[in-house]
Amino acid sequence: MKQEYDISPDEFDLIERYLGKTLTGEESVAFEKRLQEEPVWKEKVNEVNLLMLGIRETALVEKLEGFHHALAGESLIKKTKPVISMVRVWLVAASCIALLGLGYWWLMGNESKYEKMYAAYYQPDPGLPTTMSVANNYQFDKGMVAYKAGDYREATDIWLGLSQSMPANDSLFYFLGMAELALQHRDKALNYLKPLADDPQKPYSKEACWYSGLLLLKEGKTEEATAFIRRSQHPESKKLLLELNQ
Amino acid sequence: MDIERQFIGLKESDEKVLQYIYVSNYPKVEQFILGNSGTTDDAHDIYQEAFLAVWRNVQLDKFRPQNETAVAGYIYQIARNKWLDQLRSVKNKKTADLPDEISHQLADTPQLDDAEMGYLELVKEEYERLGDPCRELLNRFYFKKESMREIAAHFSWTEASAKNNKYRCLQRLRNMIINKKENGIP
Repeated sequence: MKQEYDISPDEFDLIERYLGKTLTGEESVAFEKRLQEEPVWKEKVNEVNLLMLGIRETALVEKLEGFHHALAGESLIKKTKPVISMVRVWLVAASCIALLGLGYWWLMGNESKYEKMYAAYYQPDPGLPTTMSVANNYQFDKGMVAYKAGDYREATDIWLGLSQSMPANDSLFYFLGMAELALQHRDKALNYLKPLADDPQKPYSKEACWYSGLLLLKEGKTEEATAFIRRSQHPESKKLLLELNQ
Repeated sequence: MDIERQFIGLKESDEKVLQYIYVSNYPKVEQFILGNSGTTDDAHDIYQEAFLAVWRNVQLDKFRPQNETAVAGYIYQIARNKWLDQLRSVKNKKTADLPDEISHQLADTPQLDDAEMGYLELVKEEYERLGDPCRELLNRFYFKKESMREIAAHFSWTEASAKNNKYRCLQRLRNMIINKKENGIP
């Protein structure tokens, strides 16, 4: 698998149709013939197959934990079965159900209220205009292009590389915080935003207050959140504080 | 669940079928591992590895169930072999008492050679680093099996743009893998 070749869009398409077994009889014969005669073609087919497999496998791995949660409770009952009576099994099961019910009520009844408020008020910062100038600014702008395209991972990768050469750049840290927030990396986002929020002299301090406040609100830390939201002077802050006090 | 539904569900990664297979076969594996010096965490890890191995072999046309219990048996056999191998590798004292009659032939059939396995791992690693829009597009097409029309509608694109973007994303992933292989850097 040396990959000293390109795979054109048409080749990708053809290989995918071959792997998906949707080629016509005639196409299939020509394809197989090519596989026999061209070693590079065989490599391309193998590579596309592995690319597709890897993408699917990653998606499946992300699903497995969800499947595993569906097992919760079942294994507890099975493990205790040989040593305790059926009455106790039922008691344990009933307690579990009651606890799950209480947990569900607690989560849905309290947390979701703040999560809903967060979802209603959170809007990602639209970002800065990009000019694609020189050196460090070029890299910063490159990250901004990725950020504005919603490619937050790419943006953080580029900006993290810059943070060594621009250690005290508040704009950089603010937008790193914004990108991490969009990626739902709570701790990383707060690490970037809180120092800005805590220092009113810094640029982006008010914005950092707003987003830090929203993050804390999402977690139900209403007192801390209220302080940040109030300091943010965000156009929506009064409305949100009013909702919070209701 | 009948054999055809299990096979097609595995092949097409039908979420309901996958979950059914996952949930219905876990207890037996857990019971075996808990009964042989393992913990529930061990059972969780080993079972997921075995489940993925079965799914992968179906994707690669290297396993096709021949009867209704074949999938369950295959998962169990792979999980059991993996757990026994793990016990042996840590030289657990109880290993000597464990039955050793299991044939590794079926379960240990190599799915991919080392180079292919290495490439697959790189795909998975770099896919995680791909931007969110690209990952969503590729996930919808390859895992959820959505059509280009559905994907175009979701992203408010034309079908032609969706197709172009899919190619660009694949090309980008490919380039990230090539860079990683050549330079060891992203």
